Amino acid sequence: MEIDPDMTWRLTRLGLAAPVGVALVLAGAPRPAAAEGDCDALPNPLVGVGGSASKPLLAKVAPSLLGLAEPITLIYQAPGACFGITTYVDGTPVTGTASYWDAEGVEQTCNFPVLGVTPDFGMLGVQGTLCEGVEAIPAGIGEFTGPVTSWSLIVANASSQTSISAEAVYFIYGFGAALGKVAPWVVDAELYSRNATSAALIAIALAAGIPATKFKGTDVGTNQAMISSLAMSVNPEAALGFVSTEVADLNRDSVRTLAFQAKDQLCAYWPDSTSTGFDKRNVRDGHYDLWSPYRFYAPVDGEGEIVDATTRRFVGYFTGAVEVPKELPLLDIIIDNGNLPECAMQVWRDEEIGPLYSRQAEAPCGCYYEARATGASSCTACADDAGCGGEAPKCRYGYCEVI
Amino acid sequence: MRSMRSKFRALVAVRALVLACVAVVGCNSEQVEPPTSSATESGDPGTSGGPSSGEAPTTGSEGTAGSEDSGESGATSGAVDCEGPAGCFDCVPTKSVELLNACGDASCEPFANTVERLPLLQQDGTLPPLP
Repeated sequence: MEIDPDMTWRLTRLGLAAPVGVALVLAGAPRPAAAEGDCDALPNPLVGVGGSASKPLLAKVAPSLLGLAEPITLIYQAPGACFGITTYVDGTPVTGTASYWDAEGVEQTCNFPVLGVTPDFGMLGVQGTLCEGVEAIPAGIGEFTGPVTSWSLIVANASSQTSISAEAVYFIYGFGAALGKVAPWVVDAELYSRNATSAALIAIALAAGIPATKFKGTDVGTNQAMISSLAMSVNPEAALGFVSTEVADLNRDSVRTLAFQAKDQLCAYWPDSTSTGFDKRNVRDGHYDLWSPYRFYAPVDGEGEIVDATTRRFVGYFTGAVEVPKELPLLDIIIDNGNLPECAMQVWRDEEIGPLYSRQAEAPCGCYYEARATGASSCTACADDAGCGGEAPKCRYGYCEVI
Repeated sequence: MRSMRSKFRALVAVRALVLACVAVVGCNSEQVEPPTSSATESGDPGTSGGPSSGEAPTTGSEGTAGSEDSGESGATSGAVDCEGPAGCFDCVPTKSVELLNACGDASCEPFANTVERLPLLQQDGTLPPLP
């Protein structure tokens, strides 16, 4: 379905996305005054929709956006990752309530107009074409790559289990807990899952070779609800679930990420170099297979540029297309949230959970990443290129990098 | 050549022993940390060049099944030349499976994909179709 970006934006800003709304616009009817609690009442609102995995990152970014010279109020609804692309495929407006954050980072809620809005951007933890009903990204919608997230299969801290394999996941989530017979995960009531709109499910299903629509388990709805389900399980040894690793890391007092052994892999690795670390070294170098870059989707013009100026600025901060202002410490926010900027990755892949290949970033930031994530770096600190040399001649983010 | 084959057999035996340990003793509670090889990058990815695709893998360092004939330069990434402890890949990885299994000092824990652990595994070790 082809989207007319200009009409979409007029409709979006007026909160009128349905045919009735179009009629009112053409008739020149005055826009209803936004009431307190309405998302429209917020200053320079930027509306996104997508998965719950990205919500912690956006929650950390939002307060800084309010402090920019041209402030942005980030509003986000998280019905599921795939809604971040299907809204552009089938034109379904976003309705109901959404989250936004104040300057202190406290989450608030606001209401969309009754007829809904077309979001300014969608955000998914997997490629949009992996969503059910999405055969291709619609014409007029651009795809932009963001920071990397990883996916964790998790157990309650009371569980004795520490690792799992792709083959085990195939049996557990492909057959069901009881039929799969992979002890101790043999209790159907303790097998927690999501539905096929979840990026976490899609990614793990790919790794295990299970069609997303055949993935078993009880749909708990969100990443955050998955944590609660595991934490409150009455049979923690049998309980199994999955979330984005950044959500798992935020909840290490309740759940534990299992080391994951991919197909053709001889050992199971954690995302970090140890089970208790935070360095994400195994994601960076390819030992941990369950990772994906976030994707942003937004209406674009014929040149592939995002149409809406605020959206273009926001997404551009993540892709590097727009210089990040000093009021927005985005690199630190990304790292502190447990995500990886592309510049810190040493491997990449061209398809979701597909074959890996070594890749050197154009402007690597691995040294700074290491310092920020772990508190220490083995790289040489520098103020400028003059402080570097040899095999690492380039000073980036205060450390000598190879290029 | 005869000596290299003996080394390879020894390494295969070590790998089998590790897998047997997991299956029988249940090493799940222990973290197996593949020993670091000098062919492995340090934990300093920022200053290392990083393996670039297309770069010919070098032979492993001491303790790996390297060729004893120095005349064989530019060794391929075959198992004989690059198999490290417990079967890890002890050369510069260039393929996906090599990256997944590259030798290093990160903690890891083998998961035994055996019939004992996965009762529905087929006799030939393959996965049955989903219901």
